[in-house]
Amino acid sequence: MTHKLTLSWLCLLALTLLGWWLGHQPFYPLFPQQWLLWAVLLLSAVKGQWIINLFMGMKNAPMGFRLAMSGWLLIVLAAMALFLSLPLR
Amino acid sequence: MTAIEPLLVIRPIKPTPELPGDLAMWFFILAELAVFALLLGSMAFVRGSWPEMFSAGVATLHPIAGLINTLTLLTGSYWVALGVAAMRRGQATQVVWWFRAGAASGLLYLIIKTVEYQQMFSAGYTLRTNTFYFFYFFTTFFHLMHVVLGMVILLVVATRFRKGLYNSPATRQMAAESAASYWHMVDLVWLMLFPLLYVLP
Repeated sequence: MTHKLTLSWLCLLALTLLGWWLGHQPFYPLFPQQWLLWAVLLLSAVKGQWIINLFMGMKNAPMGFRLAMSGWLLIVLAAMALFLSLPLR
Repeated sequence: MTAIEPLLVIRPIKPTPELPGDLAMWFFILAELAVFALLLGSMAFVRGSWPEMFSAGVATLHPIAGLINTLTLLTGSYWVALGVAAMRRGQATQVVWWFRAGAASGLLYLIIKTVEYQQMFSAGYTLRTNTFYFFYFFTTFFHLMHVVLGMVILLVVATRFRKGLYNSPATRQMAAESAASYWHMVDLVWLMLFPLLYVLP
């Protein structure tokens, strides 16, 4: 279990650094900025679910609580995707 | 002649679903997450509605501070998860140290955030500057208060473990998992704030 936690922690750090690096690159005239949004939100989804499953230990929790946690993650990220990609004005 | 009944039927073992920690703590966590969902959604709405104002505000934040705070909270969550793993092995002394380490990661987060706030206030930015700064200060300070509460919970549980006040494996498991779940919730919320404030330009 300890090795699994250590490996997960290192992967979470790596995904965080990757997301931050992507957001601070000056190559957006070459690529649509929408790609960055989707990439960053996807990384956040993976990291969030990883925390929920492994660190929180929800993988073996009752289905209702698992749905509540993953549903929260989905709603928050969907709201971000919606509000940041639609022209609201 | 009667049919021979099998003496032993081997079925694959499926673990019984088990909630990590106390049920009351989970209702508290879900209530907190509902409030944070509202704040994160509102912040995304503001960002989508006034992208230029929001991006100009993001540009005034310290991107390295946000990155270090994220790495700090992730590391704190890892240490706390190691504490729960130690509790399952029956190593109470290790629980104490891992939970204290988790609280120390929270302290580092508080120091970095305080320096960041101090720099922002010195530069003349306040809650009244514009909608971006209102959401930035309000949401991050609300989150910071949860970090403080998480630290208090971790330290109280660590102290009770040190004094041997949990007298059964069930109460030890309940206390350690409840404290850890709250701490991971604080980390999870920050992981959603991080892209809005420190990653997306």
